[in-house]
Amino acid sequence: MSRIIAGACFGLGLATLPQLASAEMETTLGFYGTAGLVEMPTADMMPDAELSVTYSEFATASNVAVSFQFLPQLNLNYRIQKLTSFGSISSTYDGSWDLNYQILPEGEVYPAVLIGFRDFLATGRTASQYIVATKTLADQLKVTAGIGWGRLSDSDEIQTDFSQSGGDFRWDEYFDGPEGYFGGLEWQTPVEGLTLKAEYSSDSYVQENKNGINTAFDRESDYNFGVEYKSRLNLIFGAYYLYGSEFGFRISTTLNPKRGRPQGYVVPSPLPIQARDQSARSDLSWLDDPDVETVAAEALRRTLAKDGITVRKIKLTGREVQIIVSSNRLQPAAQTYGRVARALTYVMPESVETFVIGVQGGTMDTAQMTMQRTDLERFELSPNGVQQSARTFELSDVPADLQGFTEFPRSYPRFNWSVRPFLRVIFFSSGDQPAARAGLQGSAGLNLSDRLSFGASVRVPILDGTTQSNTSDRENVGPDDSVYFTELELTLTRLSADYVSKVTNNIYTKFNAGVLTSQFIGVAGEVVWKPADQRWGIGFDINSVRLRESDTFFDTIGDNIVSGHISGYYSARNGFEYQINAGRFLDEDWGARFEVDRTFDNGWVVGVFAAATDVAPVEFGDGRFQKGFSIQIPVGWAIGTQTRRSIGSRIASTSGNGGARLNTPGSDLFSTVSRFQTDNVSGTWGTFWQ
Amino acid sequence: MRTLKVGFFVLIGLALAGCDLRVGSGGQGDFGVGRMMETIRAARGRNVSTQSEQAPITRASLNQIPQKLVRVQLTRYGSTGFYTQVANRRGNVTYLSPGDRTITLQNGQLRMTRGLPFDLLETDIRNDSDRVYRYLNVANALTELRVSCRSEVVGVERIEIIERTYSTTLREETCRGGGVAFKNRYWTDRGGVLWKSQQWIGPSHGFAIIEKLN
Repeated sequence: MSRIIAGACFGLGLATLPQLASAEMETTLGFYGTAGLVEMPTADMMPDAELSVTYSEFATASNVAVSFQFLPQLNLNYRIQKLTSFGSISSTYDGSWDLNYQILPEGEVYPAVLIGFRDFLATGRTASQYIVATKTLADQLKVTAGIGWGRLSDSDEIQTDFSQSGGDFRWDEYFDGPEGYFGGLEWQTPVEGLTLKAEYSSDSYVQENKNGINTAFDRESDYNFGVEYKSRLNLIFGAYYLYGSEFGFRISTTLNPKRGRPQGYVVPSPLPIQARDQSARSDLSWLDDPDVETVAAEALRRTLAKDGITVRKIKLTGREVQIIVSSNRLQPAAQTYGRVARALTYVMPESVETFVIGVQGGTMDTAQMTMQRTDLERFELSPNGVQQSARTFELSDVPADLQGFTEFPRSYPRFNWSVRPFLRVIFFSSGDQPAARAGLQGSAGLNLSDRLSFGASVRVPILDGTTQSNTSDRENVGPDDSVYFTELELTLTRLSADYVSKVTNNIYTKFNAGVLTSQFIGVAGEVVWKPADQRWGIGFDINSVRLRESDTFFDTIGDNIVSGHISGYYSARNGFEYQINAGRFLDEDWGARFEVDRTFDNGWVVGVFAAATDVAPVEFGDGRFQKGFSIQIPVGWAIGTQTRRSIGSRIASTSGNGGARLNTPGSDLFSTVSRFQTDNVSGTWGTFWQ
Repeated sequence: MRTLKVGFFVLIGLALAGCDLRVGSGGQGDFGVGRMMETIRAARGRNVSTQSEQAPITRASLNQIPQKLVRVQLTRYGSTGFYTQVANRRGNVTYLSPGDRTITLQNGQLRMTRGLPFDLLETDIRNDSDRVYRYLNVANALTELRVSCRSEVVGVERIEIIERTYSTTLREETCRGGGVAFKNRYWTDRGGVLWKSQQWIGPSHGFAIIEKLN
């Protein structure tokens, strides 16, 4: 058992207070979707946690870029670029990763300095590296100068061998070869939102002008000019005149989970904590009523209904109440505990001094908070009650062998169903360009108990732009499941029995059997060890599956595939969550998969992942190893209320077999278990009192 | 209609202040908490305080109300509502609006809000001049703002609150810190009763103008 948090975790600071932002010159984006002039980079960083989406186009190239400011000094950018007239290739799509790290933030005297890599993992067609410096003058003008290699070398001696598949680090090529120099100016005009740019470019467009053929444009000048306007709706429009002959444009928009909704969240006011009559504290006569727990639970049910909280178990003794509740809302975990505590002050007799409030993650008792009622009464009105309570209240595991509780179980069997649209985007798999599939998904579930349920899902693609052929010699176990879908035909994507249970105080399990995904049929098992007051946990999973045959419900092809991993999870205090899965993956390849998610207390999650396994590069295909990013945006963030839903996607930049893991049906076990544990309570502890 | 509206607040106040809700304190199965919650739900459903008050309330209708009421205008939101006293603990008085907001005052001074975006979670008044406001920010993390305040009496004013005038002393409190500056105003009568105040809630909220009605 441990205290909720130490004071240091609160992240106190005025930087996050709305309306107190400084009037610094804003960072603007360039053609590649990262901080830049027109095509050339600057040394600026976007605000921390800024997520931007950019579309840009001019003569030979169009870009769709998603950029995330992962750390105040680190920006990651994923870009899908369509290049035309590239060397001997008339048209090609390319997925590229860009990384920019600001070595030195701008000071009073010295400029910001940044080291950057464009296209450092993919095919290298736009690969370049640079060191660049930017200085703001008089709060309105930025001056940038840099030195570049690769594509920015202003030379025709850049790498020209693109015959090999991309996806590897090319350590020997970074900052190698001839260099080029670039620079420019950026003027934030007195007209609100209007910025003018001029740059000297060191990109000589060697490939596009090779041999005088496939020439997409005449590069008649080294200078580019642009005018950009940022609207009140946070849309940025840019128009450019490039290389003395071409016009181009850019549209960008940004979101920032840290800034969140400017309007904030409106949470209905809670009941004030009810003070007690001192003289009645020794009165235990109410214990004579044999139905007292049922009556108390009914009173609590009415009190907590508006917060979506349901009493599941209660045990009431003269001086202590132990209660287990479940919540169907996405309110912050700490707020769930707080609402229950307030309700208890209204319902519990004066003699009850200790509150032990347990909350279920899914249907399992995953965490409980212990507090003294006297403290609760005192802290609510204390000038520093939020932090005092964090230091006093305690989180711990709920014992697995609860005894003497009056239970109010969910009613079973329960049946649920849903029909909703789906959208699936496949990047660079069997086709040479990104493609999407959209349609309807119907799901049905039958819950027989807290532990056992059955689920089924079907999908009917209505629009399908994916290519339904497997070009690899090997069976596809990677994320591209296109071969299983045919437009306007129904495909079974799940028909499984699912079982979850709590084994000991802090060990939880999950089993699935049946049609687990559109691709696999088989059995899967997972165990997670995660104490409630600990920020890390360990998991183990083992799965035995077979690939399904397309156009059938239950037929399989090939042999059994056995995969399994040991997983480690760690939730850092700064909101970063780390996960590693090491073991055998679905292509029977051995290795490890890493994922880093930056989570925000309002429900946003932005992460990157990569898997390195012993699958041979030639078998993996373009991209070499699995990598990608994920974004989850809570619906509540967008509409200002608390709902459990979120929208988002996990996007792999390659669809090869290496490092592929089985996605088992149902909720992720670790996330379910830790939902009301310390890693999710401490950061938003203030909401206990809201 | 006005009487109905005021009566509504009375009901809330009665339910909250008059009922003992606890297990063992009344007839089993007929909890005050149930009645209270139903009353609150009904009151909250009306959502009166989220709109500007259209019809003026009269002193005659106020006189029929035994519960303590304040009128609160939230300047940033352009809303005015009647808040009913629902708790008084150690001098901390909490008022509830039908729109599901509460404010808590200590000796008339704003201590906390609930039900607003970026709620003022607590105010740590350290001495006559130093004050710490703690808010929830957009990421639901606790954020604090430290200000230093200087208070002075600036004059005498007659104020009118619903057909009744009061001779008051106007005291102004000028606060600065953390990139903000604001001025609170307090109108207190000769007996020390604070009838009206204009108090800053936070950077996102602007001011609350609070008038004691009875």
